[in-house]
Amino acid sequence: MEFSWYRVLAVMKKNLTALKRDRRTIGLIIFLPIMMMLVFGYAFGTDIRNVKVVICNLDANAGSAVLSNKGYSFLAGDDRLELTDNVTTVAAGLDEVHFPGLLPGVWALIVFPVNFTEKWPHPAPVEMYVDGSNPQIVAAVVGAVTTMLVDLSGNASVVLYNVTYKYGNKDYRPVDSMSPGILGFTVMIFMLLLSIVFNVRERLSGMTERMTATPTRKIEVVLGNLLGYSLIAVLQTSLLLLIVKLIFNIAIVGEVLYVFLMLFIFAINTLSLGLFLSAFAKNEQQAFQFIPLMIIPSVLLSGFVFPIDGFPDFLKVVSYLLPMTYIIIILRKDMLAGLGLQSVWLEFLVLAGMTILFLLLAAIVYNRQKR
Amino acid sequence: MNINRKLDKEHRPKTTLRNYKCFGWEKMKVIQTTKLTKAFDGFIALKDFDLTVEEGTIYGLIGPNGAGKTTAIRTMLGLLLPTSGTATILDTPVKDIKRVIHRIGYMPQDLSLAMELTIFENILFFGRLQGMAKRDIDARAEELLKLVELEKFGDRLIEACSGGMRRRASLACALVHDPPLLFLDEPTVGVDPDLRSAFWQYFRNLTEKNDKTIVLTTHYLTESEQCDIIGLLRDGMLAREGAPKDLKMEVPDGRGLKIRAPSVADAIIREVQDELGLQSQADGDFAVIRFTGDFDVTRILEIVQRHATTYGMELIEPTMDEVFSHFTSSKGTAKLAANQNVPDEPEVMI
Repeated sequence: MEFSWYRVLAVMKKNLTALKRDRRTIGLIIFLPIMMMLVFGYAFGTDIRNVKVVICNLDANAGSAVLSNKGYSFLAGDDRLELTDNVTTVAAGLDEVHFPGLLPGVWALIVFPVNFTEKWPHPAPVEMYVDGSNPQIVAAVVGAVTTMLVDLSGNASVVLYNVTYKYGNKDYRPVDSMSPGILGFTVMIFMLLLSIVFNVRERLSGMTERMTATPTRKIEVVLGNLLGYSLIAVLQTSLLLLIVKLIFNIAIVGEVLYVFLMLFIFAINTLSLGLFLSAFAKNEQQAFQFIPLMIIPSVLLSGFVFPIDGFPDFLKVVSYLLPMTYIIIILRKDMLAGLGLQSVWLEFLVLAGMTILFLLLAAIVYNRQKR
Repeated sequence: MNINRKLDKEHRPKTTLRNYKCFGWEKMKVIQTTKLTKAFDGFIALKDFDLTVEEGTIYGLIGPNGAGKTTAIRTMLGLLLPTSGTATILDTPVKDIKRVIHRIGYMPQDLSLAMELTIFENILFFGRLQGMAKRDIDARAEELLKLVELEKFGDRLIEACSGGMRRRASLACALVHDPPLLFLDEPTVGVDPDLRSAFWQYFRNLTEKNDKTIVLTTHYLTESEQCDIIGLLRDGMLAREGAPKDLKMEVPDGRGLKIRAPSVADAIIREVQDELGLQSQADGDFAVIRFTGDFDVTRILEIVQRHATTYGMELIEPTMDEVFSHFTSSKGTAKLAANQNVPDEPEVMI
């Protein structure tokens, strides 16, 4: 039989209709991301408030300072920060080398460069000299400045800033990266659940075998399952991003659409992996056991919680086998630095390659029980 | 054999000598297996299974639980890989069965429907997998729902259906694309007797008028009588095969005459035993005389007429249970009986 999208769509429609009637799963689709975001969001420092910072506005020294003043008041209004002083009188020429150090109790110095307003939209980057000893506080400062810059420019691509660590390990900066990890993790856990459990249930009910006794090809069923569930992924990813923006106000420097697309690809990746793994589960209990098996390394070894650079080599190997590692790198570059695909094309290719590989593997082992 | 049988263009048999036969003298062999064997982890579920099913017949695989009926069907459908032996289905080796699978309908033994979908949506789904257009499926679904007497329940979710309704819905799904070859694994389980006989009438209609071929399993022995050919399976082996009426002829002392001849019954029996050596016994006014196969009944009647001028007579045929017990050997008879005599009471349907 020829491959036919008609059958793929039939499988997809069947799954969506079934899902639509499964109220508990719909509840899970909606509440799982909210819950995860709340738990992670609060646990990982988005609730850091009133961090003492000093702002140094060098812009005013030369002509108009409209933009930097606007930025200043924006930062003053951000309850993550508490401004102790507006140092406008420090001599121009202050830079990283000459900077004497932070005052006691102050976590960061934020410097608007000379001619910030004048050279807009191509000013020198806003400099941040931060105490890197508490990564979550650094995240709050970077987050506040990023939000401010996005607000000023209205265009994410203009945003430029530098972070200089005065204390603490410069390499140890998991902080900036927390939100991409949370996004990836939430998508992963639900997509694994969906694909593994539903697929095993379908096989146990005899549907898988019955479909095999029709002109349907394995790849059609796998694609149909994938498409159906990926629509759920679209729904959930949108919801996640909405929560990220609205509730936690996490800055996304790059394009939201890009983040969305990348998360979607990651969702397909996880779905295919789930479909593949489910072939090895005899029943739903066994299927559930795969979930922690996939989740735990993905959380601990992907750079989500601990930076990969600190791992011994053999663990690094594991890290780079995890799709989660790649999505975190991809999202981090974009959400925190506004760098799109061109900065992570290698990681993107690996992720896409893994997705296709899992998909093919899933089709190969589909209805593996056939003996 | 209907010469005008509509042949699927795509699958018109090649004009070889063998296939010429199928147009004229010999019915086409829809299924042919040779020494088909299937072992699971050392356990042999099917052994040297030789089966030939001709077009336009209902072939019943009969046997106790675990006899290999379902394994046989699944192997013939290519859902299980045979350990050894070959199977040719619709002129196609079973390994290439995907080429002809659209001409096969399969109703599995277990539920195999999408629980969260309605009966109609399930039919629609399987119709679409067969590549049928929505419009055609709609029309066909209406027909099928009427057949399985579910026309009022098309919108009911499978999970809300009783066991019997699920079986009927499953049958409808297997029939949706009107396939020439049907594998039905226990199609009548949990279906009440009235509807069961309607099913059988439908099956007969399919095979006799439309040249379809049906391979089914059943454990209702009485019902197996309605098959054209039955294969008696035991421990994975085809113990015996044949038309029910032929098999009945072979049961020793299976047939008989029950003669009503008041007061002379004893005398008749004595003479029958002496002259013909037939097993016989008196039962009040009746003389029950047992014989095997097509014994010449007139010889019995001669004796009867010596004693009585008027008498009543009834022909006794062996039941399918007796046929089954006979052909599946003695040692397992008790076990078989326990498995086979499923009461024919209808399952109460909601």
